[in-house]
Amino acid sequence: MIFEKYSIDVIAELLNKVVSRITFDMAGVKSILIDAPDDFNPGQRYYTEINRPFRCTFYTELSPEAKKKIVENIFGEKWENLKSMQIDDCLLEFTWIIAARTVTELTGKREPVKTGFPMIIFDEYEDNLEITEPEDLYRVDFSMDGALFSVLISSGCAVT
Amino acid sequence: MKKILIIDHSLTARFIIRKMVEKTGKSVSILEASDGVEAYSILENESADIDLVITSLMLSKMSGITLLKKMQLSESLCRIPVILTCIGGGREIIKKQLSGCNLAGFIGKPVTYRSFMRTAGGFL
Repeated sequence: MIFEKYSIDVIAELLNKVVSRITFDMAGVKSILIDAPDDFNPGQRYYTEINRPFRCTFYTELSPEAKKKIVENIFGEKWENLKSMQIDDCLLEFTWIIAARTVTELTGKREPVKTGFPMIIFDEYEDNLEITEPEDLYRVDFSMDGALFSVLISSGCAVT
Repeated sequence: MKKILIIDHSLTARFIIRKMVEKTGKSVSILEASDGVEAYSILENESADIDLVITSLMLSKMSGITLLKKMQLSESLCRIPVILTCIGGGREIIKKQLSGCNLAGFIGKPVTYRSFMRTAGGFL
């Protein structure tokens, strides 16, 4: 269980470093920690389950501006010219890299990290599903040049 | 002209590597596969021409580890150097698992031009 092995402070500090590095390496923009507004709710959630060396789930919630910035910067194309498949794949890969990289750094790169394939949870309106919040969801909010997104971690499997 | 095969379930990951190859300015022919079975089929058909394989460890249908082990058992494929793209943890364990395979190195994800050139540059 991630929260039994590592304190919230350790996870938060590492997440800040890892996420900032990843947005820079993938999209050329550094991200900084912020407190997102209470009404920040992008609807969709992307997630990756970690199976080894311990079980946990990483989620990302991305504002439309953050999605656009990441995808356009990676593909070098305007949002309108990109196919849905490219957009989804890009944001799933982004989420997967954040999850796997954070766990790798937490374990000191000593152990291989086993993950599932990243997936999307659609919101209630889009999919007629109710998202049940995991009990121990820990959230960190970021801004990439004003584009908001959050990374969330829970110690169990993804709850859909 | 060199020919390389890029294997990753993510089209974004394949796109990023393709961009890196293009950035070198070298004339390289690029083949792509999204899973291990498709990759092995391409390798069997094109074995004589492929100079380098860059593959993710995490592939559907056939994992990157299984793919390398199968290549090792093939006379025509065991000569092809393979670079693994992975997140970075446990490389020593992976190297042990793949001892005897033509493993040419690792590139950590997300792939940057610097890390790409350091590992793959000499093969292009």
